[in-house]
Amino acid sequence: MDETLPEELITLGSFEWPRGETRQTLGHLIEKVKTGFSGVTGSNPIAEQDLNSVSQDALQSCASDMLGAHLGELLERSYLDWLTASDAPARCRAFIMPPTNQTLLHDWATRHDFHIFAPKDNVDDLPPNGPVILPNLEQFLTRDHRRVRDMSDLLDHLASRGGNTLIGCNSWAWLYLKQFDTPHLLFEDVKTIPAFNADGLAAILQRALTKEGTAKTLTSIESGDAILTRDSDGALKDPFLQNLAGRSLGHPCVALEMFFRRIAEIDTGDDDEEDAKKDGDHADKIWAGLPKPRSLPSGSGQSPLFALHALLIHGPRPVSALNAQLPCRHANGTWAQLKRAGFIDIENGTARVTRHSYPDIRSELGAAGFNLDKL
Amino acid sequence: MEDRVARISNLFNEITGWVIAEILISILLVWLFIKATQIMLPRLANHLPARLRPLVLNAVPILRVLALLVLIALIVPLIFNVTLQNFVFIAGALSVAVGFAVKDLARSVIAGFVALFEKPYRLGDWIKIGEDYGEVVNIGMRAVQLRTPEDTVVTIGHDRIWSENVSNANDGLGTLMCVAKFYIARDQATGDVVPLLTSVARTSPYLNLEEDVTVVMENTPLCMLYQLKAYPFEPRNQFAFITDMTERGNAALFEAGIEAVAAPESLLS
Repeated sequence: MDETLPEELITLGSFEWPRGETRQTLGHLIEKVKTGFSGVTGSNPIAEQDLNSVSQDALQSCASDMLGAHLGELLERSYLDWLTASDAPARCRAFIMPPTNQTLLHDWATRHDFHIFAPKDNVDDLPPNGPVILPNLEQFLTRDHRRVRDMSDLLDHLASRGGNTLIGCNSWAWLYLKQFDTPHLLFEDVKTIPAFNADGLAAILQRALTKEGTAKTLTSIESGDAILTRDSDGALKDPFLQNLAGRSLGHPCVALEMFFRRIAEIDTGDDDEEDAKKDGDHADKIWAGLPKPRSLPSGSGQSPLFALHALLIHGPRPVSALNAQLPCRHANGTWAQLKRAGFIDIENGTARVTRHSYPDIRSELGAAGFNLDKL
Repeated sequence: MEDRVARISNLFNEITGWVIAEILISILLVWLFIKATQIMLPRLANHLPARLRPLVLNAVPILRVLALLVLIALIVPLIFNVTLQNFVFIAGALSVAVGFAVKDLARSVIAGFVALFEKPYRLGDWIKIGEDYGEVVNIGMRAVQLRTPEDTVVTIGHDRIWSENVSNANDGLGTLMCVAKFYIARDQATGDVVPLLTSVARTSPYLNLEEDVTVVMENTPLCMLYQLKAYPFEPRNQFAFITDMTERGNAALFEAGIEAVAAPESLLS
């Protein structure tokens, strides 16, 4: 295993953001102001108009697979032996994920052929013994006073089984559920994925480049330097990945999504001789930039924020079901506005947060005083 | 007589055109500084989390007092010949003038100065003075301004803190307790009321998830009074939060077959 990658899951509560200031709303404000002036400073080594956005689907897919495999290894180290043990002291354990890793536990359970418990299943049909995985507890959650007891009953039932149950939950749903006694009493050692810093991201990208056989150099649009080059002490020379780790709040899925959204290659068309020579120097590079922070349109009021908060707590869900969780029950215009702003995707009526804008959403919610998750 | 004239003329420096210009420039700069802080800091505060907002808002009156003290320190030596003898003479004359002519104003200004350090209210706090309840939107030298839930700005002299209690709902914090009241008829089983109302508060989208929810029950001669107490994540949502808890609480009690009592509130509370 690469030593620059996190080697163990960590206890929830000990998560450390890679760079404190980037998650602070004040930091976000400063970033927004800087973005506003970016056109004035214009200090980039390559002009944006000389670059063509490119899609690196194969590289992105490879990096995602690498990351998924590594996270799978972390899950195996923490849970595999316990899940199959018949005399484990705890029957239920919880694994908390950021809301951008919806399928991680499901995919892992499928690979290991564990029994998966989904919302459509009947709790009485669960096997009395043997391991069970409940990948997304938030899918069972409805913010309705009539359904509060359902969640407690479900968790009690799982805890009373003969086999062990691993329950996955997103960090926002966990924040909501923590106010009730049952999760608090049932789960002792709640674990989560540690933050990926610049070295962790570099390791994933380097592996993907090697596997794909890409000879091009990943280069920062901001500095013009190679982002994976290290100095004599072994530290990354360029701060790009450190900034990316900070901006993505240490969540590797978010970081990869942000990274692959703003990569580009040199535009070699319609050049004169001098430009063509300059372009030749850059032809072996893939240029990468940090995406600009997004904001809700001013004067939007609180409706979009309530909608985003509900979406994070409940996970991807049909818009009609999410509307029932909002103070204003007829919020279709709000969902359209959020989609236009790039914060969410709506596919077949189901809304989900876009990974690359998750840090901006969290920042907007924090600025408005909403309770924030702990990741 | 000549001695008295000499003493008075000795009090003042020579007022030249340049001195007047210096005074005017000083006043202008301090005024600009005060206006800038009054405009910029509340705007900045609106972008900050609720817990940081009071810190920034509280800086506005403190910066204003500091700016005025700097202005006085700048202007006084320009006008007056500051010696101990002159200081005693001016202070005596001023105290007589203030005592007779503007004692109410001075009382309010001094109370405002005390309020800056005692902090019975800060910008962004929700306070009640007398019958007036609202959010503190401005703290001036003489008075504090509240914006009431009816969107009316009420100006209250600081000197009221000498004679009246000031109730502060959040006391500089980012949250405050909200109470929804339910009047339940007697002679029925009420074992489910507390968990039901607790669930209602805990499923509200306005709830501050990091604070406790409590229900307090009290017997009154006509009914049982349940007070559902919880905190919104944002103090400005307090009325929407109370409405949400009351509306859904009533519906939940109705669904559960728990009978409310119908009588004028003056009789119930």
